[in-house]
Amino acid sequence: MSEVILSTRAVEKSFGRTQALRGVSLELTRGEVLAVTGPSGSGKSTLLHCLSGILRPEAGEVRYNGQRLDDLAEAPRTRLRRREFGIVLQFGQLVPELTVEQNVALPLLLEGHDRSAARTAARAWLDRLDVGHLAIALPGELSGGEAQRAALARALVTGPQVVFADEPTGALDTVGGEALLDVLLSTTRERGASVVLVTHDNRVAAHADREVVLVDGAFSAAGVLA
Amino acid sequence: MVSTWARCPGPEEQFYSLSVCIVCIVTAMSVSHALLGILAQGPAHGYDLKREHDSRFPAAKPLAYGQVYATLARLERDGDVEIAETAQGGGPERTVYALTPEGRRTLDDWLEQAEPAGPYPADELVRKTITALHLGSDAAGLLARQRAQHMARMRELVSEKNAGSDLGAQIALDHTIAHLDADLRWLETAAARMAPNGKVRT
Repeated sequence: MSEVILSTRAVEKSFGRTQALRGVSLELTRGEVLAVTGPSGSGKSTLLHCLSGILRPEAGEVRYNGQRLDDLAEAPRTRLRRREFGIVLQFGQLVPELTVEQNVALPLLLEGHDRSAARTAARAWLDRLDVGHLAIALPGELSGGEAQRAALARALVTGPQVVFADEPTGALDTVGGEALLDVLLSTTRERGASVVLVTHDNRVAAHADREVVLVDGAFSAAGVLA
Repeated sequence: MVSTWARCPGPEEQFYSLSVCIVCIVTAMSVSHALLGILAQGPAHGYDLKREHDSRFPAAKPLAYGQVYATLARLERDGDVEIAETAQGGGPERTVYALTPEGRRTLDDWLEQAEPAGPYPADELVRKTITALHLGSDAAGLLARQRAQHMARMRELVSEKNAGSDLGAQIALDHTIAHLDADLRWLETAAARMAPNGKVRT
């Protein structure tokens, strides 16, 4: 039986009067690629934020490797997130004032790695993702696809066990999106890491090992595919 | 006007005259031109034409040999192809076909013309969903089951595309995937229009 790396049980989350998640229970196994799909406003991104420890649910629990993540204080939760998780968002969200290489090295520097080792690791990942030649460029000089590759390098540089990707191809055309997805899935699969892929694009979801469909903050039973 | 009677390859499999069965006309036309396109690269016999066609269009139904030879006979009658050679070795007789100048013109005309957009008649999915709505049966459940079926097919096609390297096959699969995705988006839109009680949300 596959080892569960991340799980939620009866998670609930509201924003004001809007209940974004209504008792969501989920298990992610090691090495699994899970697609979370559903209409806009169905709670996909909220679930990703709860799973990755960015948000704390009001009820229910989130466990990473068996350890409660949701009741950790802010500082240890942030440390765990930085060490164990990688996050890629729709528009890259690179720090505009830093070069591409500095952006990618940042998570390692925050973890206390020395500057030279962080730079070397950043450069290696940028080369691996075919954007090494852009190391000294600023994010504003990159195309959408290049920025997403740099953001992916930043997500992978710490060797995360779980990569969270929120509409990673949403700003790219079909061919550019496929290329990014290919590099995201091949690099994570070869390292045995798991991926949570939030998308509204069925073509992207079809790359996952499993899909769950959120409707109004709960899983749609008929939409869950084995 | 072609007036041959044939079994329609469509789902109902009734006998139609080719001149009135739209499925047969469209299938016959596109297969003819695809075969002309293969012959434009050099003479070939029926077996090679079938193999090349099926390899170029992996998402299409594989051609039956009978369909290949019937199409070649029609193309020969219309002057688009000619018999280049009839070889008889130890095995069965093998007829090699070649494109004629007239066939090249037919092919070029086809390549130059844009295809009509649609029509997209109400297909089985639409008929079934609307029938379920009229009967008050579980249309939302039907849409969810259909979506699961479509997603399963989408996964197969995406795996096939990821495994392949031939550009033509990739482009053909892109086309199939895009149409499947359009169906999926229609299924999702239809589901979104239905309130939980099955009434249509406008």
